[in-house]
Amino acid sequence: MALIGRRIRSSLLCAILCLGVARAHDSPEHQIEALSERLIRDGDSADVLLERAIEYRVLGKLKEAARDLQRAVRLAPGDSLVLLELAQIELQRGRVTEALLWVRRALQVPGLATGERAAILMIRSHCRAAQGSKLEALDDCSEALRWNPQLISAYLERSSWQQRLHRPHERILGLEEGIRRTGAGLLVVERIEALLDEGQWQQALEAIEPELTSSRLQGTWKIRRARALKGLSRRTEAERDLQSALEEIELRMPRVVKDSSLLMDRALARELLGQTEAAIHDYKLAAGCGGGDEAVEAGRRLRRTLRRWPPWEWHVQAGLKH
Amino acid sequence: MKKNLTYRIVRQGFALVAKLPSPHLARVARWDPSLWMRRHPQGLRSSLVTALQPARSSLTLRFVKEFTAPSLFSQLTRSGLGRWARWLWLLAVSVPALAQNPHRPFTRLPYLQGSSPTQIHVLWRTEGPIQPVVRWGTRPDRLDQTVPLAAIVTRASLGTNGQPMLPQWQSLRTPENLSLPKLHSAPIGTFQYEAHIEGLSPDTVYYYGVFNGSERLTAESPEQRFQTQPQPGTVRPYRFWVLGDSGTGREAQRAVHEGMQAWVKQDGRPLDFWIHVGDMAYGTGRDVEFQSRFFESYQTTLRNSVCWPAMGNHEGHTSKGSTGIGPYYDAYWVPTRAESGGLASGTEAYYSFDHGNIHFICLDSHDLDRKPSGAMAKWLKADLEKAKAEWLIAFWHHPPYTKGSHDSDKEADLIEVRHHLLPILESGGVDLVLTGHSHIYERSMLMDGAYSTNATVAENFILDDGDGDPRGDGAYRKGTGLRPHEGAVQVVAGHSGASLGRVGTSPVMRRTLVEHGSLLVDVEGDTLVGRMINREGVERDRFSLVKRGAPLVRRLSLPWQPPEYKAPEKATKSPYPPPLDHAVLIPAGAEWRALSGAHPQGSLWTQPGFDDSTWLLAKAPFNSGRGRLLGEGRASKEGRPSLYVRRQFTVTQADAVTELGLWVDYADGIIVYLNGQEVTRVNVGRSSGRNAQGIKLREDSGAVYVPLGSIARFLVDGVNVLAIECHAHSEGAIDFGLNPALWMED
Repeated sequence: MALIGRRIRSSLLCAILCLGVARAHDSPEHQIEALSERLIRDGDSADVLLERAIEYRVLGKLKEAARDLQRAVRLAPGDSLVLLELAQIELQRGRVTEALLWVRRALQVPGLATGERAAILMIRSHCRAAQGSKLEALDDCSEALRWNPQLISAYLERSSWQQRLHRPHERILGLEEGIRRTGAGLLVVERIEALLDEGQWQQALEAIEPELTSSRLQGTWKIRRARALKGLSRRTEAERDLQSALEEIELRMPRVVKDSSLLMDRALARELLGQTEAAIHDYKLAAGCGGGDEAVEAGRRLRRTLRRWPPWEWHVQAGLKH
Repeated sequence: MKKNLTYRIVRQGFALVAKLPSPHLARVARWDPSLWMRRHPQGLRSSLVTALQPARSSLTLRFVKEFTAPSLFSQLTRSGLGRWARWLWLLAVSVPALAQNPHRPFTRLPYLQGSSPTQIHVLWRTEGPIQPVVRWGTRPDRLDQTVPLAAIVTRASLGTNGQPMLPQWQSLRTPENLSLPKLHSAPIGTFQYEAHIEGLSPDTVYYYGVFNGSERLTAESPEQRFQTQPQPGTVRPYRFWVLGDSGTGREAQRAVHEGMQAWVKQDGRPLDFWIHVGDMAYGTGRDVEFQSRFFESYQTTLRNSVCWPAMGNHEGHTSKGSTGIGPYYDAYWVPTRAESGGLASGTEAYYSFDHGNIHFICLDSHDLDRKPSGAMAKWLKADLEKAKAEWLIAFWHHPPYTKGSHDSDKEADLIEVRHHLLPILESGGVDLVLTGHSHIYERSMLMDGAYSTNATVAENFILDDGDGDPRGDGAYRKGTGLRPHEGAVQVVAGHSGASLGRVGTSPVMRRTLVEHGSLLVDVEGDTLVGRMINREGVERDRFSLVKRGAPLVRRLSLPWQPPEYKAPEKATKSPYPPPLDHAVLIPAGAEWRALSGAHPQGSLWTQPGFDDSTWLLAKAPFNSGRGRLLGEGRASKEGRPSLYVRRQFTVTQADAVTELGLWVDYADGIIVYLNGQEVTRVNVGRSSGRNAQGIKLREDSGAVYVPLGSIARFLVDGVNVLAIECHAHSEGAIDFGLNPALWMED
């Protein structure tokens, strides 16, 4: 073998090794294969196991992902990233007790960055929510915000819990604090929702008008205005807004697979117009295509309300409180 | 003198780095390089291209053409470094530019971020602190405005209590410095400066310079410039560059960049800005990977045009959207409070901005909730409600439709993007969706409504099945303004550097190209033109969208379908390319401690503290020379020849190393250890030493590049030990041997 002085051939043999650099096949399956080879070759490594777990998660193989992460935790018990990932996976698998265990371990990691602590607290909040402990879920959101006041999702989730726990004043104040700290447009929207839920119709209306004027797509804002107008007993204007919103929604609604955000809007518009069965139907559809708890709860609430009041009475209630 | 010289292999050639003691600087200034070059050997005369990156006390010269990396490798080994070093030293001192080049402490050269009609950000990094000053003006030679110190944010990486660090960094851990915002993963001693320039006029070209107090750090050059955005709604031609999955630091990445630059230069219209759809720093988005595989790779484009980034899954290994922490978030400044238009997102994970008559939306498809009930989707909906531009373009990493190196019908991330995010965007009137992740170029027909979680089909979701090329079937047509469900074009641009791959053909794609390249997009009034420019700077695909009037939207029940893809029976393994630039830590032909004809006990021999004084001190190459090894060529007791070698090397700052690799000729199998830990094995199945099994015959020959794994875990500051065991596949092997050199990506 002439080792030296030989011209290097243009085709270099690839010797391998998944360094993490992308290879010809970057798909999760190939990544898993390569990472598995690496684990056999080099032995267990928390980093590699974490990488493989992420690939498993992408493929929806949560059990395998959890197994890798548990091995990774044994190798690196102080790795907050691994613990965070593991807690999330266990929660996704519906194993709330296990998720809480990993959350507890993660919170005990010394020198945890504030952002990481906040993220872990949010997972704990989700665990509490899954257990039905609303108060504790709310507290975790608040604590997460103490560690990371920039966390938009924590403001939104806290607002949601405060709404469910009937703490409207706290909710509005919390959102105003979030707007001050982050400037996030989404919190401005949520504050308006909070004002409407609280029945502060005039304030809500004043906040809605400039938003509506500056919007290209006005359907959602018209529905919000309709709620305020109804609250102020300006029913004709409200109905006009609702009809106009429904027209826009119909124009934007996809033909086959539905858009849950539009379905939620249409459901609310129909609910406010007293088309209760149609609204329930829309909430159901929304829940089936990613609308989440919000859609499910709205549908159930409407169903309960429907049983409690005859339709004509409920019509009035819907205008007052969403 | 020789000890002041090092060399490294760079793109298409090699570079000499000469560390110049200060007394020589004055002498250098008096030299006339043209005179010297006339006396220079023919081979070198035309190969000296330029003096590069003059730093505080060193100068890098780059040579190309005559001296490709492999030939230099041979030359150096044959002639010995000393002779070359003398030649190159003479050359080095002949370049007077050095004395004129200022002190440059940059560890990351200045680059632009977050522009708007009236403001922009200039970011850079230095090793250790400086007195940061940014001056700007409308002429390169008259920078008459200064950014107030209060408008420059300083971030620092100062390590943690008890962390081992150089004394110079220890002294920087003052209370004042420790109170600075942190850089989360940069090498210790790094200071990042973010200068916020405001009060600018829209659509105006400015020049800027970075200073340390009164000392100018950037060259006085028309290339140090930026152009503010036009006022929202302004109609004029805009051009932007789109790339994805590029950050390998390999030749393909460079070629794609240069291909784009060549095309743009020929066309005569520069970029306004660019978009990176993620995976810009393989393999795990570490800070050093960002530095070498993004910032250094695109420096010439970064200094005068803004890059708007989206986070990829590889950055996601070290950066988290949920926390906003990590090298990705350290590297970029993006609008969170609607500074560049759009709705304030309050987070750097997703954001929007306006550029003239185009509204851009960037999402984090990697690690945030993609469901409509999640914060990101809610923000997206609210942002779309406000968007009033004529064009709407969205970008993120994970493609909703692809059959490249990823399959959008199988992978949960991709399905979720399609099912949850696309309906919101298409009902908001999106025109163009740019993604990456899948290492291929795919461009769709005009399409709408294909959100199914099942396999994607084209029937009834294609609105125009033509090729979209104005020179062919004609441009795709939409109505004026942003209208829901009039169709969008999907482009997967994950072909800008990483190894390519394909698993099939997506039925919605009109063009599928498995070649490296990037996308250039021109928007002029009601017309958008996209061009795929390959690595050679050749246009390989063109499509156009025209938004005029109110054309009839029709859904095609039997649209054109791309031919079925047949995968090759046996996929060829692509070679692993060496890094573009690298330093040589252990040269070929170096002396190693070697053991042959016997096996060392256990794995102690791989450890740093092992006493190897009884081993033979011998120079590589270790070859059998038709059967002989180390002059004796003894086979081990097992009959199969084996060889064990070890050698020390020094690394100043281990956390700044992105990649180590062997440039190695070997036969037949090797196992490589770094400080006692196995980091690579080739052609050896299981176990090691006397128990090594499954050794395959190496079928090719010559030196190849073999990257070492897990160096971030095992490499240390100071002295390290590299140990290699080499085994022949059989007793009768006649080509047994080893010739290693250790390279470090530079």
